[in-house]
Amino acid sequence: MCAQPALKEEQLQSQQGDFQGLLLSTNGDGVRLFPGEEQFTSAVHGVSDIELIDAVSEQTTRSVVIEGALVISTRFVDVKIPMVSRAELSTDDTLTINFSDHLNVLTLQIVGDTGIMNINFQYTEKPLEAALSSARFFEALATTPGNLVFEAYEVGEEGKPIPHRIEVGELPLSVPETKLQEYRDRLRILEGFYDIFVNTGVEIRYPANTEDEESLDNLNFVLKAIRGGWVPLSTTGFNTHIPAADVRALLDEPRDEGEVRRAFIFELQNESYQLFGEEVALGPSSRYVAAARLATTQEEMEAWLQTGPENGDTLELKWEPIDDAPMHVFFDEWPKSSIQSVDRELREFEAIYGISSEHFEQGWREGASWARGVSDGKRWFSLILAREELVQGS
Amino acid sequence: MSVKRAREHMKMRKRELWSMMSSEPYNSLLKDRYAVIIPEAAENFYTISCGDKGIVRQDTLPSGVIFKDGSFLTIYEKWSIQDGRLLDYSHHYQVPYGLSIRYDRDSENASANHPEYHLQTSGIGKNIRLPTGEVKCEEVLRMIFEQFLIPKQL
Repeated sequence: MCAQPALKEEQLQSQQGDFQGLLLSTNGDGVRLFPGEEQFTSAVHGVSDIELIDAVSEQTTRSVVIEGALVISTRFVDVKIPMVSRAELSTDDTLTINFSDHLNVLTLQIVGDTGIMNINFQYTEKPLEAALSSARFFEALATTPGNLVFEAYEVGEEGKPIPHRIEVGELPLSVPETKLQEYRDRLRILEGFYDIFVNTGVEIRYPANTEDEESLDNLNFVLKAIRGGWVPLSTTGFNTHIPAADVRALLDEPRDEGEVRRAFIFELQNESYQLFGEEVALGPSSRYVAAARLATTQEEMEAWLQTGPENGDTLELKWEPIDDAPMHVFFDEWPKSSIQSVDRELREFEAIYGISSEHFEQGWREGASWARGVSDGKRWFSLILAREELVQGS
Repeated sequence: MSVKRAREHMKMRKRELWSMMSSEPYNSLLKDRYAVIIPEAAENFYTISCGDKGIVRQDTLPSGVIFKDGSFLTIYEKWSIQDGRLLDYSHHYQVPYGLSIRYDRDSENASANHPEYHLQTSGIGKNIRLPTGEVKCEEVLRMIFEQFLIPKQL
């Protein structure tokens, strides 16, 4: 990969095993892994006299189950998540309302008019999309000003559904900042898993074992690989394997400050990583180290030669980076380019500029000054054209 | 043309940029020693971009190629598959709350006072477009390394 290597450069075929166990894989911005389940209590303001009490009171069973959706209602947008509401009236006429999704990933409980909401979430081993959806919803509950509303539909005359909305309380919920940060880390983990899922098809569920540091390191690596294709690693060393003739040549080689030094490019047929019990294959890679010194001693090499190695035998040489030179891992196949990736990019433009790609395209084609004034309009318009070509091509 | 061919061209271009940015003395001048390059392939062209979307201002959070001193470069290139020409580009270098330099190709608005290939910099006023020839991303990177970053290390 190096355009102007300062040292003699060797290109070698290699395999992941020559590097495993030697890499210091933390890259500084890794996520933390907290337990996937938690229960806590939050104050919720503006709890109204819940209208469900009327419905419950009418039931001889003193409980009622209604299917609907919890809605975070803001000035600009509604965020919904399908929920089942179960309301129960105790013998002392205290109303308890539980909202839960079908997989019980997220459960909210309000007891009477205490203004207290018990919140429980269980991400561990739950289907990824359900866990991610609940995690995003919870983050909105804890950060978005608005109202929490339960929305259900009654069947009216002629079978038409009539929406029925019940105010639950005001948002955001009161969540301590330290807790909020933990939830955000869980959300980042789930979003990372989702990126892996949509790019590789491998579904990883929120793990029960939160002490699995190797998987967490691998997660950081895999996410960097699929999102950018380039992963720099700190490394303490790596191995190469050479036959006897090359060992003799190395022994005869003039030393640079008493050392044998090299730059290396390794070609790997495939890299794959274990993440919480699932294997993620990343495909071929190139690994580049700009400067390394031979750590295997002359005595070790001479001793191996004296054992009389046969044709085909190789000596495993150990190398160490010079001046903390990183090992750069490049994945040609990543990030993936596709209609889906173009769509994702287009949605980002739409979110930033607050207009649809269709509207922007029309303005751009007409030469409208507002469209031509969009700072990265050329980039946006190119993506629109790319999408058209890709759709036609498919 | 085919998307497959575009993807091959795109990979080669990505490798060229990786190669330059991963080699010394430049690599150690990058924050975290890497940059995320996003390629997109179509039937007749491909694009290479690096950096967040939106207007780059003095207070914009660094993205793209982020250098050790906190300055950053956003990159956009559009390449033809048919003849390998650089169809369009826009590279913006920004020092947070300081200097900005932008290399652009703007074919549609080209005129005597608006050179097709031009350079704008906050140093002389953003409304002044100095004519340049076609400038490749590597030249902009080299200029930043040699003019701004390496002297700081001496």
